[in-house]
Amino acid sequence: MHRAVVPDMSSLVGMCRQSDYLLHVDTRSGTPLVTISSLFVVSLTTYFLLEGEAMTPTPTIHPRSFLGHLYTHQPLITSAGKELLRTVPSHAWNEQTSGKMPTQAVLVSIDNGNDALKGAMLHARDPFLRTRRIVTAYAPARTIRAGEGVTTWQVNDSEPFWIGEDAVFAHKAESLPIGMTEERFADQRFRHFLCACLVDLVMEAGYAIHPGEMQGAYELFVSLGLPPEELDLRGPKETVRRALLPLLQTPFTVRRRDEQGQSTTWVLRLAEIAPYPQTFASFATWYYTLDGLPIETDIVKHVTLDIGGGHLHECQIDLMHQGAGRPKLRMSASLLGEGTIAMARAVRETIRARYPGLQLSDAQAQQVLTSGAVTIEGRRVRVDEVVAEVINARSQNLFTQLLPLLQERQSFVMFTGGGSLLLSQSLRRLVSTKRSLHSVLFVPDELAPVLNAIGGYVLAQASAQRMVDQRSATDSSTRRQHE
Amino acid sequence: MSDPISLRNVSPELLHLAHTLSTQIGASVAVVLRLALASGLLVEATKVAPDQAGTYAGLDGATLAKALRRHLASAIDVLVEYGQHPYQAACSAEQPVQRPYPLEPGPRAPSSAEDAAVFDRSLGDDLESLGLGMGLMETGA
Repeated sequence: MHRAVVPDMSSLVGMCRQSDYLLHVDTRSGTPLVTISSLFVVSLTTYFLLEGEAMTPTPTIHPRSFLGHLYTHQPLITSAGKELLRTVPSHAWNEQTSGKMPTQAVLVSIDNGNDALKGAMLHARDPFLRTRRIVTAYAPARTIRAGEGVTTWQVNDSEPFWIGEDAVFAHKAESLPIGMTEERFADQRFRHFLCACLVDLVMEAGYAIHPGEMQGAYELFVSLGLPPEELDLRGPKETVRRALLPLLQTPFTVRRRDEQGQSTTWVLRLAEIAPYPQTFASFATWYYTLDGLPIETDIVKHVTLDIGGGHLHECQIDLMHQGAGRPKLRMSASLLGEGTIAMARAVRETIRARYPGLQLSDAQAQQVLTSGAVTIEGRRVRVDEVVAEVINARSQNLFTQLLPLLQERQSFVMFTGGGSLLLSQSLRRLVSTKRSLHSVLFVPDELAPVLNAIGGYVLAQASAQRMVDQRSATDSSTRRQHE
Repeated sequence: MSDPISLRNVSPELLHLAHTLSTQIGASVAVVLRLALASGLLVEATKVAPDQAGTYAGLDGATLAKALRRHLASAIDVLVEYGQHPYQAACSAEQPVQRPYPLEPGPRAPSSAEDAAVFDRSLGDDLESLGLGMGLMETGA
């Protein structure tokens, strides 16, 4: 162990960049003492202290990355001092003229998870992202005769319905389909659920600006997260494409009545859907800066483990560093097994054995798993012991699937997804026995459940920029022809 | 009648512009300044975020838009003529037509490369090499 006196922060930065040691600064004594530990390799310090940057408390997150900005609550402003794109040039079909008209579509990102739909988009006026996580649950609305109401939705001429936690606590909560995209979008209730979630997200992002009922019409560019196995090098598989096409260019009139009985009406039209592999998007938040550039890193093999409600996914990225230019990427992704739904169903069975006749939907079972409480005979009853028992027993099965990856020690591993929170303690215990700190990243709690959706927004920036470029090129060409 | 407001802090260039306009349109400088105040305040009202009630400095959005239109039509003409319209990219390729329903892409949403960041092509190129990032419409829906 060595000790050194550090005169000021700038020399600390210099030392960090040149050394391969982790520095601990002890300022309790009058003179700051620095303990240099040779236990840790410090690609960490590359990220830890950059002049003019906010430090990220987690050293494996680069401060200039999207993840770094979000973790430290920095505004999403590029190095040139500009805001990210919120809209993209688009076209809408005009029935009156039977022609296309130019419009602007608002960028939104959706991660279509099995347990919850996650959404992300920039606020209408502030350079900060807004995110929403809405439990994938649907229930036909019941008439509330008195007292506090429930936010009720209606899409076109559908039945009035409730979504999210409102639906979970309803007497007749219905499970929406879990599985592949073509199975889920074939269900009209799911399409309506999606529309309601989109309005909820748009409102969260500050677009509800009109005092009256009509909130106007919005064209949306939807970056849509799908299970990685539904995409290949040519894009989404044909079955997926066919399932999504009916959503395009179709106006949906969404009516929302809030708890106080105030109604608003929105018209949404999905101008474009850009599918992306859910887990790759999380990697994008770690790897790219707000300028769209990759971070500097010596990592060559990055694996994202996404423990979701429905599935456990792995996404491996090989970063092939070259002499000049940025690294080339190679991605492979696979479905490792079930996510936390297996535990939720086990909890449901255990509870049913104790309280015969108690029926819980998948969505309600997931809620019990995360909240540790269930409604029995009119009362909220804590079932922490049941949940702990099940997690203890069933998590081993899930961990068995992770073990080979942790043991082979060839890759940097990033844990994300709502399940990584649920299993946080036991997962960290397991990982600490197999890995050193600098080879693992647990995505911060507040971001893990929604990181795929945030990554979808990062990917949408690239699509939007390409479309802006194409539009500019078209305009230049048109102008030249006119001249 | 309220107290007169000093023009001491108005720049000489603006006052010169007011005098020139006054001569050109045959109205007094006071009239020109009153007109400028009306137009300018309407524009200033658009620069602040709407309040809780959704109004701009107390003006309803629809009312403000109608009022602004009269003032800004000539200004927009000049912007288009000299290629300075911020949304020219979206407007010039095809003439906008009557929309089937009002389209409101949200307040202050940057909509073109001039307004927002130029996002480096690295990510786009990486996505292309991985077969990602294309929309269904782009790929021939």
